[in-house]
Amino acid sequence: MNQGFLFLLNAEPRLFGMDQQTFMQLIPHLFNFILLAVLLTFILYKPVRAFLHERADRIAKELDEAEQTRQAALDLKSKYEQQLKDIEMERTVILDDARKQAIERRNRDMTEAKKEIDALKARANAEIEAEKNRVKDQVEQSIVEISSAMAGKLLAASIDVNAHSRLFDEAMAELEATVFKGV
Amino acid sequence: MFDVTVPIHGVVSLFGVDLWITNTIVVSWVIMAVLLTFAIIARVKLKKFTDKPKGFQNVVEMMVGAFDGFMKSNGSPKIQWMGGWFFTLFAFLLLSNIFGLLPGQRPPTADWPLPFALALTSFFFIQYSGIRHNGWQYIKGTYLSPHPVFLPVNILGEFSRPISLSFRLFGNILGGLILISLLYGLAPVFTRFGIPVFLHLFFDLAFGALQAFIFTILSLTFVGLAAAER
Repeated sequence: MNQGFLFLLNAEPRLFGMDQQTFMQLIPHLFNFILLAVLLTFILYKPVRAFLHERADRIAKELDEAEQTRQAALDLKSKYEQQLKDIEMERTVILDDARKQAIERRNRDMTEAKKEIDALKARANAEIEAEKNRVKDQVEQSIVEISSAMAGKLLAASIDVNAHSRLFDEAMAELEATVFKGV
Repeated sequence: MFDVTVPIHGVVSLFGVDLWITNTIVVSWVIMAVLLTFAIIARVKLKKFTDKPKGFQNVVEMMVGAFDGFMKSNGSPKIQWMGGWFFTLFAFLLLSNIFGLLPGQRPPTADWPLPFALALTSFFFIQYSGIRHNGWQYIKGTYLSPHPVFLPVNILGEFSRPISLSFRLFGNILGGLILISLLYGLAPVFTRFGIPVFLHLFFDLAFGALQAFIFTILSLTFVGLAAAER
């Protein structure tokens, strides 16, 4: 620092003063600071602030969307769960109905089958009885015929005892054969 | 002994009046250059800023984001547009106050014209906000209340704000500077090693940050009060 130069210009270092020079000093300080404030505001503060706000808004929007999606997913899940419950309930009702219907049908079928079996049984018994009567009539008829034939042969043959016995045996064998065949 | 007076690097003529180019003005230019360089680098890199900040982007976001939050929590919505000015005020004051940490340098805020110039800008914004948002009600409530006869007193009261703001800052920073220079000049030689570190941390860093904050928050409060509805 050139003290002589400053002395010539009436300037000297000092700690504090309240004179014209003090207020002259305000001019460059005010100019500097206003210039700095304008430049810093438009170069740094506003663009960075805008960036931060834009990012915050975007993140907030994404969070909102995520929340909406989550809510929609929860709604969908609860809807599906309700549907599953309804389906389960419907399934139970259908199964119960089907079981009930099956039981009714089985009972009905069994009743019908029993009736049919009884009818078949009755018809078979009737047929058996009819056949029995028919065979019985046939045997009786055969006995009559054989007896008549035997009597004819007896009369036609000699009175020989041996012959008689032989004829009798033959007649009896014929009778037995007829009976067994008829039955 | 460390010289606490304000060095003068030259004299220029302004409107026919001598203007001393003091160390304060030169240091202000240095601080302006530092801040503007930082701002330009940040502006250039802003195009490459991502959603996952790291490194330099973190620093820029922390500075602007913290101050934006500070403005939102302390300032009324009407004065949010002044955020850039308050941001510059705080950044400039902070760097000015801690400038004394550099070897052989004195903080520019230890020279009264600088704090007073800054306080005048605050005063301007206080009056501007009051008149812009409340018009005649502001003038009536501030200068003519409770009766027009109190106008001189109210004018003194209003003008005392920038004076008190500037002298609070000037006195605190100059006080720290004088104490440190006393230690360097008068205390035994062995106390000049190590111990000044703590004094610098206290008077320059802690006090500097605190005074920058106080100046900014008071300005913000005054401007906010002036803008508030009446």
